[in-house]
Amino acid sequence: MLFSSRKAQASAEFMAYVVMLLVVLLVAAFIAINTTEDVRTESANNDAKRIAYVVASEINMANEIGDGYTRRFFIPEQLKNGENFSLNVASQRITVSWSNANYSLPLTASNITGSPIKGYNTMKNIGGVVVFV
Amino acid sequence: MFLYKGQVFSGDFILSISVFLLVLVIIIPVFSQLSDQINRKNTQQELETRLLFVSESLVKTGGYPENWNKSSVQTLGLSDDDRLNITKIRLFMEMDYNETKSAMTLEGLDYRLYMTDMNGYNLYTGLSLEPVAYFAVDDTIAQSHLENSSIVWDMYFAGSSLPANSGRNVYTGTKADVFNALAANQSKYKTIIIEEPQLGYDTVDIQGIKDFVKTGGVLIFAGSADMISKNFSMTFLQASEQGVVVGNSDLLNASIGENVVFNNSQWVIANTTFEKLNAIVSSATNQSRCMICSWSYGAGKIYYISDLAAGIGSRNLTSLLLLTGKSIEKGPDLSGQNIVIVTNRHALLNKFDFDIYTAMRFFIWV
Repeated sequence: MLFSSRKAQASAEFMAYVVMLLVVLLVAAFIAINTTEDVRTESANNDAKRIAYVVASEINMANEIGDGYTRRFFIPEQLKNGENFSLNVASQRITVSWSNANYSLPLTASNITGSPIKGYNTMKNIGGVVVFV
Repeated sequence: MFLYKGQVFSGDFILSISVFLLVLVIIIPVFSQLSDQINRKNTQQELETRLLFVSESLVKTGGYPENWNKSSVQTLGLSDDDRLNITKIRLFMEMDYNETKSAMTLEGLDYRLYMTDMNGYNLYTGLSLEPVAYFAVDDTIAQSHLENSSIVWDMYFAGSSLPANSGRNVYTGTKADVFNALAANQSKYKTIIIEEPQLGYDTVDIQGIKDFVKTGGVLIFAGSADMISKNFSMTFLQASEQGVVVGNSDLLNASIGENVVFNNSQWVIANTTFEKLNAIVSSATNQSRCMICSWSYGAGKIYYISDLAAGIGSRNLTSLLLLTGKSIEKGPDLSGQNIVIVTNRHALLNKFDFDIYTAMRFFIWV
């Protein structure tokens, strides 16, 4: 009778210990998942903005340098987190759209022919007009 | 039967849990603070980059579409032919603040923008550059323009009863004495407004005024032109005629062809061959006579207005003149903001055919 009491007490205490650890684990997992989601979203936002900066800088540079300037640059197919995005150059601004967000930057070039595409782009300044070949 | 002490909730276990929680309590705030600092830094960098693009576009381009107005503008630009354009600046000032944010791709942010000359004086959308000297005797029609703006100005009054005024400095006395004081102080001003001085050119120190204009000053002269009928390259005579708007000008907000009614006889400029005379209002019966005109004199410019009390349609002439305008600034006060990014852009502003080297300060914040 003495030994069975000892076993039951140890088991109850062990279960309490496990439950406590599980609670801690659940809380930690919840925080980690939320943080990971925030990081993913932030990463997508930053990447989209970076693409806007890069393309806007390329266009502005072509406009500044003037006639005869040629440049080849790359736009990725997707954002770093795998999300899709779209680019639009119109009304003297560039707009990058992704998820339910978009980001615009004004351009110094007012005469632009063609549009940037995902992948490699060849851009020229022909007589003051920025042309996407 | 004995009950043995528990193996789990021992002193060791409680001690280890306590240490764990203590470490957690220390690490979480530190991590949070570090995270905030990183976010703040990222926000700052993003704002700096955004401001660079926006200010470049604002100063270097004319916007989209090219001849935009308040309703058609899609992307803001204030420039034309490598110079800031005063007409576009006026349109920008008249736009709703939130609409300007949208047109500058600053949604979600706030901004403040203002322009000064290289000496730190504010710039205005009207003709005058501060500081202004205003000379008047009995007629003080032009004073309302100065009172209704925040422009820095000094009053030189030679009439019988000094009107209430917000002049920075006030000089009073006899006509000749006050005028000569103005002429002696001319180097302190960028604009001199003289309204009906009742003085002849040979009774005052006209050389001071000539020097003022020759070295780049703006002289706005209204009324009897006896004082400037000599020495300023123009031929004046007295007439009693009605006028018509014949030229576009940033000075007068009226359409070509509108009639200008003068109630009294007036002085007119009668030069027929001076090609640099910019006629804004001419005689309705003799277009070689100019009632509101401007011309260059040395490095400066002279604007002559025959009679400030004239009318155009149902409106007073003076209400249509852009003598001062508004201070070129837009946006709310930024005091108390945490992250504020600022840039200084230098550009030439073309205002009334003058090229003014300006400094534009542009603040943005979240």
